[in-house]
Amino acid sequence: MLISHLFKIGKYTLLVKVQTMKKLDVRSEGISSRIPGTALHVIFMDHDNITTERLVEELEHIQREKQVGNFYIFETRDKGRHAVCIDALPFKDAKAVVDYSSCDLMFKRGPGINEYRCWVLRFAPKGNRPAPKYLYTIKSPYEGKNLQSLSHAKYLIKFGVPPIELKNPVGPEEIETQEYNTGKRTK
Amino acid sequence: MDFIPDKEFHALFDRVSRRVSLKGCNTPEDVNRRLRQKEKEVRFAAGDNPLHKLTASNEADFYRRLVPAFGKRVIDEVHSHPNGKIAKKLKDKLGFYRKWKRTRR
Repeated sequence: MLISHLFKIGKYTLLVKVQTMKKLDVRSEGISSRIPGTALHVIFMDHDNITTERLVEELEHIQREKQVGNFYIFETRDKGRHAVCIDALPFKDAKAVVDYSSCDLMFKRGPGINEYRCWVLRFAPKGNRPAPKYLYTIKSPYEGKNLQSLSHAKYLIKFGVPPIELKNPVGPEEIETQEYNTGKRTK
Repeated sequence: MDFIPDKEFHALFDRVSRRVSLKGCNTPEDVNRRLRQKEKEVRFAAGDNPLHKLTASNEADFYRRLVPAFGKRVIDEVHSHPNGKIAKKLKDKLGFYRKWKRTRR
């Protein structure tokens, strides 16, 4: 909530803004979309409140339109989903794909807000919410067309994603994690 | 939150970035262990009273105890910005201790 008010004192105008925000009282951890040592990013998407049918349709369409590889889908809560594609793209192209989707608007703005200039997807529990769980893969005819992040492919092993055969691996076997404050949510 | 200028988010979210090597990780347990291990390496703030950690009897002991005496956030900051304000402050403290130690001899 933002309250602003203008005061005129003599020849000066004073603008006072008071803002209230929910307290960020929980520490959580996530993985960065950036491939360390490069300017390339993998595609991360955070969908809130979406049905499975709509998500699958949308991501298949994105795969055809943007010619990107498989999407790995994770469940964060009842209708919350994370989508990860390990294709390594320049920032501009990765942003174009994220912007093309219907994912969370604040998430789209992520790299502009984050001082490390990347999208971040949570892998640790957040308050009462458990860590994301792997659900399924949306296969793409364009798998292996772009460069693929070796580090993110390795990271996906954590969630029990079946081993990924990389055709164009790029980057070191190293990932960037981020720890951050976030709001406590109920399940 | 759309109306907050971006830089104001930095202090609120207090983000810390780390690099974790996943070399040789082939199972979920390996990856989880590596992620937790990195977290432990950075999380030095063990012990109930940080001041207690500074009461060392010799120099080596002091250095050994000094790092845990600082909070995890301080250590993270020094790691990520070795020439930053916090790192300089930490170096000053170490320099002060060495001087103090010399005058005692």
